[in-house]
Amino acid sequence: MIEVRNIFAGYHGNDVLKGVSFCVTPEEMLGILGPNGSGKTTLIMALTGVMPLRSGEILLDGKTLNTYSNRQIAKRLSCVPQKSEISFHFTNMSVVLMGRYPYLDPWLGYSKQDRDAATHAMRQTNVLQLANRSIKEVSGGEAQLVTIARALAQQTEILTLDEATSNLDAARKIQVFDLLAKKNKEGSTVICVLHDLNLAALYCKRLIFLKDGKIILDGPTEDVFKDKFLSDIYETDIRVSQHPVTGAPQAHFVPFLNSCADAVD
Amino acid sequence: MNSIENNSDHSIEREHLAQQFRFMSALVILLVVAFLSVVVACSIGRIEIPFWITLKSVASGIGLMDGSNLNATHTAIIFDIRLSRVCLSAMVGLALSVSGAAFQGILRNPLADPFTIGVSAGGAFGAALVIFLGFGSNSTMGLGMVPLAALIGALSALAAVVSLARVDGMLRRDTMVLAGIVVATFLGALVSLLKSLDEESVASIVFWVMGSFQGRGWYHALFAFPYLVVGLILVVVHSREIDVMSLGDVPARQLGVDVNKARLRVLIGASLLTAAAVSVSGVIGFVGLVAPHLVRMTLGPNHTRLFVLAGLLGMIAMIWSDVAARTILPDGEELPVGVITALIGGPFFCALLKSTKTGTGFD
Repeated sequence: MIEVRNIFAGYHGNDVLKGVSFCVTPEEMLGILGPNGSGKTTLIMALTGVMPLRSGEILLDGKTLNTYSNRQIAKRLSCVPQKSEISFHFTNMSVVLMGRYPYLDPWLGYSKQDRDAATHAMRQTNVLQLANRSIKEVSGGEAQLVTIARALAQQTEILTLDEATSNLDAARKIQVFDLLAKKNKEGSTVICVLHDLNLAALYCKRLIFLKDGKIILDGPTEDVFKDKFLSDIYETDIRVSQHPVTGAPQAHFVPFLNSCADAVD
Repeated sequence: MNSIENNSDHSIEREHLAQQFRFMSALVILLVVAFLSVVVACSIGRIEIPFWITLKSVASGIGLMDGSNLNATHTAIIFDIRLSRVCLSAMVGLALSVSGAAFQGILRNPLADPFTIGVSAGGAFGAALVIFLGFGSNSTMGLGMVPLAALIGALSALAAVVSLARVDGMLRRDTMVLAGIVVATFLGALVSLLKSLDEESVASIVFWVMGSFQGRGWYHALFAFPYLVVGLILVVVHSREIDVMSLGDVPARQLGVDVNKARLRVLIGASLLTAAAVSVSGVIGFVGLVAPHLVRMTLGPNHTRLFVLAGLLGMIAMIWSDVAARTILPDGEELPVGVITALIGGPFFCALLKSTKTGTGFD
């Protein structure tokens, strides 16, 4: 259970988040959407306790986030970042094992149990065969799947993802989101920041739209995923239709027909 | 499906055991070589002592056997002169390569080492200043002011570099390497200035700038020992945090690492190691660069293993560099040991970079 209460946060004294409030109940699968620069990444950083708040507070199970240590937060809440960089030639296995750091006994090192959790996580994202190769020698998409495995190895009840599947091809995107949906069914809370409207509508039951650091729309997907709302938020002509198989709403962008050169992506 | 799962589990465990085995083999080999190096290095010098006599003396010295039938001159040379110097060079080699590995790991920069981060230069400046002011020969317990001044200089240089690289309370690692180079260059110029102002002390200042173990003994080893131990502990207990921090600050914090605390402690630990080394031997380059890179390239970047193996490798390298420094010139003339490490380390480092497809292990 996460409660975000009127938070303001940002960089160098400039607020990126300007009074954001919402609640996430356990077992939700929540999508956070919005144009570039609307504060989505900052919000994820605030939720994971790495962005200091200028005012407002975030409660995790009723207690303010500041009262938890980094390690305690990392046992409850994991994060898959947008892009991962690493400075050394660690094997993919070592990288996924880093997800076990919150549980690490400083004297004993990573245990068999930790390696089993890492192995299991890598099998779930289909990268186990890359375990002994260097993370710098696999493709960008594969490295991202390794990073997702790292977050799964953390075995947290809440999983946050910041544009985690942007670099993946269509098949892997669906594979990852199927996995997230499965985790969600099994009781995990999933909070994902996305740019892909249709992917969000396909999997998330609730959507929050951020714009200029404020929440401008928050509700069940079928209520908020509407022509007018989307067109207003993205300042682009967007039409919504039904997905032919699942019936989920799907967005279609309409190019300016009169001047094709201005076609919007 | 189950059999496939079990197979891959086995391959994970097999690889884990293989890694342990590679580490343990490297550890045993380096320990044996280090021990043999100590004994052989004690045998080499103007008065040659047969290897087995040295071995017997060392064994009797640590109470393993009766040393009453040994030549007293030999044992005196071994214990009073050579062993102390060999042990001191081993300590300095260990300190420099562990601090190099720590600086590279924490700043995520392949060029970071005690020298480029400015800490060595700070030590050299402290020593040169004291020699220039004429306190170099005043001795308390046969030690003089110089090691203390070097220690203070090294730690002040770190403080200067850290304060330069601190922006909004955050330590910027790229700025830190730049600041280190600026501080090192500036202090190097000051040392040159001191040298040109005082012709008489040039020789002793040069030996500080290029590093030397000439005339060093047990007192120096004893002086450096506490700093070495504290520095090693601070660095080594954070080896797993350094691993995780290679992902970047934000992911490391999201994985539960207290990044600022860990980084500060490792920086202080690595600087204490450098300061301990510089305070007794002057500035010795390249060991802190070559030993960690060599280990990282052959056995991977895991910092727990890296510190152990690079430390031992640094020990061995320094023991032999000092043997070369004191025996290469005829008639008991000595070279600064930093000349040897630079002459061997420079080309060796270049060859290392060219010979591996993964480069320095950084990108």
